[in-house]
Amino acid sequence: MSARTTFVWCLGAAAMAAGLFAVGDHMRDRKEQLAELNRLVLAERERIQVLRSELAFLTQPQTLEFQNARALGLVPIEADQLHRSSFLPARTASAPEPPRTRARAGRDGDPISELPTETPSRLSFASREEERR
Amino acid sequence: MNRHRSSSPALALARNRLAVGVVAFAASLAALSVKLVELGTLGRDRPPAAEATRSEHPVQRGDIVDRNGRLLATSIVSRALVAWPRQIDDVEAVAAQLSGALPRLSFEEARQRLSPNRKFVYVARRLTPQDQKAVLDLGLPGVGLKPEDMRIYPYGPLAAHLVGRTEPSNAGPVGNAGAEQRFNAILSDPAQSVQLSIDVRIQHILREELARAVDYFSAIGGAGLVLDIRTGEVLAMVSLPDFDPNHQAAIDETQANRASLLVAEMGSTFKLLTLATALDRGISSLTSRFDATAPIKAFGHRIGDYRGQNRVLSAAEVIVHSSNIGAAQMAEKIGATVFRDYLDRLGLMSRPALELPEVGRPIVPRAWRPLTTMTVGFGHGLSVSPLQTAAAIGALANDGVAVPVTLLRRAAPAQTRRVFSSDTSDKMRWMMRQVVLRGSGSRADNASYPVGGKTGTAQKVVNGRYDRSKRLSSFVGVFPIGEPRYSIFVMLDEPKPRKETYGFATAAWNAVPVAGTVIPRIGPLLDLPTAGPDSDAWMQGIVPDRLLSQLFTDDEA
Repeated sequence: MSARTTFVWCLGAAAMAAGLFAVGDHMRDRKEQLAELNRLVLAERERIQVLRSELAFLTQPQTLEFQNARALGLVPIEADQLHRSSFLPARTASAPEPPRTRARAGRDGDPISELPTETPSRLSFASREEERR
Repeated sequence: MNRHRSSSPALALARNRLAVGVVAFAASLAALSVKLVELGTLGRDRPPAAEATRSEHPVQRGDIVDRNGRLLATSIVSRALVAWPRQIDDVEAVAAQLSGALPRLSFEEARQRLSPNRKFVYVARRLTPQDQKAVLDLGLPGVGLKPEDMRIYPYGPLAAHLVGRTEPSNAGPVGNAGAEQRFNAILSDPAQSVQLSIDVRIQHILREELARAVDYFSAIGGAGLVLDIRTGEVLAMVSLPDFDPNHQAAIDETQANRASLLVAEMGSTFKLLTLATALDRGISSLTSRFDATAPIKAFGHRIGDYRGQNRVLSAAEVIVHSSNIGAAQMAEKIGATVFRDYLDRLGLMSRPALELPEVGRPIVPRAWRPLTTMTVGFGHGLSVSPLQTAAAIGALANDGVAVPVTLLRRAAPAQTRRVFSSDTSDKMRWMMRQVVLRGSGSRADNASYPVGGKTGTAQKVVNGRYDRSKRLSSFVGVFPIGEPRYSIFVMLDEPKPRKETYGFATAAWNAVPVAGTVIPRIGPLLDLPTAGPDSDAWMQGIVPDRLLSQLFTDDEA
């Protein structure tokens, strides 16, 4: 075996060793990354679990009731506030016709200038309270 | 020349070997250099020590959730303060520092636990993050933190009797009560969870109203149940007094689950079952007459009424006026064999198969005498649990079909059993509604969700005798009674009379109003349609108004 051949073999072996070393090192690196990711996943899961517990604790019915009443003035819905549309009485023949609007006939051309105003608003909570009383 | 030729191959071989050695050395040196450069200059992003230890102890137990996925029990990783006392030189000094850092750990406790005779000890468990930091900041040798599972019950006592609790063990937390115990094998796998049938919102409302009544009437306890009578699911089960499973204090007998473990004579609520059996077997009709003009003597014992009408009563009046005399006569006509058969088919003679360890077995008399049949007819002589009572009355209203009760959210329909005919069920719904409209259950009614039911006030047995001063007052109802869907049971244990109740401590004054406040509150949550102005029209098809005068003598006046 000539010196050149030997040298080439040695060079090849060295290159292979270096290559194997690099691959091994890369593998170790990846394993560490994987282990680190697993650790982070578990740590995240742990944090999520703690957050879920805290959320459940903070959304206890009595806490929500108290906070709703304190901060928003909301109270639980009462059964008599719920009705079915089928319970509404049908319009009778003798019921007065609702006043017709004649928006186009308005003097100043305002489309709402002649709308009736004597009907109380059904959306007002205040008027609803008065009706109840 | 020859010598040169002979030495030349040897020299070449030596040179080659030298070259190989040089290359190998150079390669090794290069590899080391690369590694050195990598470690020295490039470095690695190592995780912080805290992160490294945090993830090494994943939770070991699954969650328990309610029917809507609300978290009832879960596990988080906590840290325990541990020590290796043999590695500690000055126990007194370490104990002093630890007790200074942890407010809940006294010096004496720390000193005792750090006894040098032991190799390893737990000094304190469930450290908060602040506690952990305080301990780590001390930097004490022979002292450390050990990750461990910590079981959390975010709703505290709200569903304590159902969820149960755990106790620590070497293999992790082990359930020792409630669902934690019953489903311990499933929950031991952290990937699994258990979904209960209860709804925390309904549980909260029932517990709040029941607690208010227990407090107001100075009762020693109470129980409440809401069941879906079509699926058999328990939507709420409350027992008072309860406990907070987050604190592992010992639970005494008074905190036992009164809703499922307690068995007692339920009193007049049983009269519904007596009449239903009599109707179903054609032994009696709603118009049948029973002589309740005076207490009756039966086998040497006197049977009387609480508030006697002292006249002949129709079967319907026996229920509305809750006549023991009438119910006893009705039961006698039914006979022991038939009556026992019906009670058995309703599940009142055996332990219910609810998924809890704390479920009571009914107390059935060893010798079922003729007198027993009569007393069971008005709710004495047979002890059952509130759970059984609510399920049996639920079956009565559910077209006569009994559905096994469950604490788990039911995905598929359960195997059911018909006990009463549809006709009997309809008549009994009418009967229960009459109790609310004209009898002792009036305070349970509301305009939105019409209720039917029956009250019961039973005397407790103390030292083998009935004690008139100790009562179990209860109400069992079904709503909406026109289209029955849910049964509700409310019981107060030893309620006291009040001036506001005119000295009465019977169910009509204390248990019934609880149902009356609970039902309108939970109705919207159950997505129940509210009743219309003709909500009781269904009763016309069962007993027309023109027949009422034949059933109720009071109507003739």
